Amino acid sequence: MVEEKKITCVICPNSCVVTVKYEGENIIEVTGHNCKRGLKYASAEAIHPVRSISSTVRCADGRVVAVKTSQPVPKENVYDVMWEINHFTAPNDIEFGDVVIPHVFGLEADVVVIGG
Amino acid sequence: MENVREVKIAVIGGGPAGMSAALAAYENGVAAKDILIIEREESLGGILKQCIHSGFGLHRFKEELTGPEYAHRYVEMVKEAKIPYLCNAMVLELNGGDGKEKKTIKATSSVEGIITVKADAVILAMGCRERPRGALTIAGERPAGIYTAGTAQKYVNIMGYMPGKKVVILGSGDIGLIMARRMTLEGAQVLQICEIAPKISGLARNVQQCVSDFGIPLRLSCTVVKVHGRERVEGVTIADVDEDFNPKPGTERYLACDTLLLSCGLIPENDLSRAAGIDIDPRTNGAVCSEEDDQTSIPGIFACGNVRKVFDLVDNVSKDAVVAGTAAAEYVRG
Repeated sequence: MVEEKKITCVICPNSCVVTVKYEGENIIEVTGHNCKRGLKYASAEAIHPVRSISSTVRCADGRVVAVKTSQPVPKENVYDVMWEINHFTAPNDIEFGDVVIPHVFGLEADVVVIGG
Repeated sequence: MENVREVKIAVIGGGPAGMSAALAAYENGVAAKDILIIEREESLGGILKQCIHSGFGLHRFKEELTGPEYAHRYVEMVKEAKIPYLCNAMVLELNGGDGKEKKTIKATSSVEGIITVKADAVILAMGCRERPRGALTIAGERPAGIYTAGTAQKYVNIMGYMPGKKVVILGSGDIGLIMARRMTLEGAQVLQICEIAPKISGLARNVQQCVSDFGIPLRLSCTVVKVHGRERVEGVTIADVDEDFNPKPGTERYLACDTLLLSCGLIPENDLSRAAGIDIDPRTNGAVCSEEDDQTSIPGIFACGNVRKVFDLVDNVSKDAVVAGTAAAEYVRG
C-alpha cells in the first residue's frame, strides 16, 4: 500500500515541508524539497528516521567538552547513545576533532570532539 | 604607566561578527598588525561556543556544522592571518568624538589592567543578550531556578551542570526549543512550553526536532502568570491569554516544577554604543546604520551582526560583518 508522509525538514532553517510517498521500504515520490540534503533527509525520515546528537563529555580532570555524533544515528537509539556519552570519562588531552567513542553503541557513528 | 595601543581598526567583540569583520578588513588590505579584536571571554567564538547543536554553516561553508565547529573555522582563519586579539578584556567605554579624530576605547583586562586603544575606525560586534525576567512582568517571589534559556545553555553545555529536573519554558524562541531537547536528553522533564503569541517564534525545524520528537507539550496564547516558591521555584501558574495578551480568568493551571526557562527574545547589546552617542533605532534596539556599509551615525564607527539587528542565522551574521569590515578598510584607507 502506498503511504504518504508530510515531513518538516530539519536540515536547515528553511524548514521545508516535504511530502514523501512510499510503499514499505521503497520511496515512490518526494516533493517540496529545495535541495539534495532535503531529499535525503525526508526519504530517510519516512522509512527509517535518524538524528544527529550533540552533547558533552566530562574529562578525568573535570573539564567539560562538547561532542557530536559523526553522522546521524537511528532515532530509536538516541537515548542509548546518550547513555554511553554520559557514562564515558574522556582522557584529559582530547582535542578538537578527536574521536572519543568509536562506533558508539555499536553503530556506524563515532563520538567526536567539537569543543575546546 | 598608561597602557596605550594604536591600531587602524579596533573590533569590539570576538564572536562570529567580530572575527568575520576583522578578516574582511584584512582581506581588503589592512595589515593584520593594524587590527585588534577585543573579546571579554577567555577565548574567541562568542555565543557559538555554547550552541553545540548542528545547523550552522550551510550557506557559508556548504556543510552542516555545530556552533563550536563554525567558530573553530573562523578562529583558525584569524590565527592564520595573524590578526591580534585580546581576550579577557572588557570594553567599558567608547569615545567616537566627532568622527574626525581617533576613536578611544577604554578596556579592562585581567592580564594587562586598564588599556586604552586608539583606532581610526571601530567595528561594533558585541552581539545581543536575552530579554531578562525583569523585562517581563511575572508576579511572584524571586526564587532560584529562573534562567534565560541561554544561561541554562551555558550551564549545561559549557559548565556541565543541570539547572533543574522539572522544567517549564516561557517563550518559543529557538534557544528555548533547543534547550527543551537538550535538557530532555540529559534526563530532565520538560512539562510545558508556553508561548504568549498565537504563533511559534522559533523555526519549524526546531519545533519538529526539539519538541515534537520528544512529545513536549507546546501551548500557544498561553503564559506564566505567577511563580511560586520562596528559596527555589516550586511551581508556576500558567493561563491562556486573549488577543490583548491578558490572562483569561478561569484558565489558570498550576504546574509543579523546579525550573523556569525564559526564551522571550533577543536585544542587541548596545550599552557602549548608546553611551558613545550613536543613534539607536528604537524598534530594533540596534544602531541606525546605512545598509550599504554598516556605518553608524558616527563616521568611522561601524556595526555588524546581532548588535546591529538580531539575525536568525549565523551565516548571515558573517555576511553582514564582511560588509562592515570591508567598509572599515575603505574608511581607514581614506
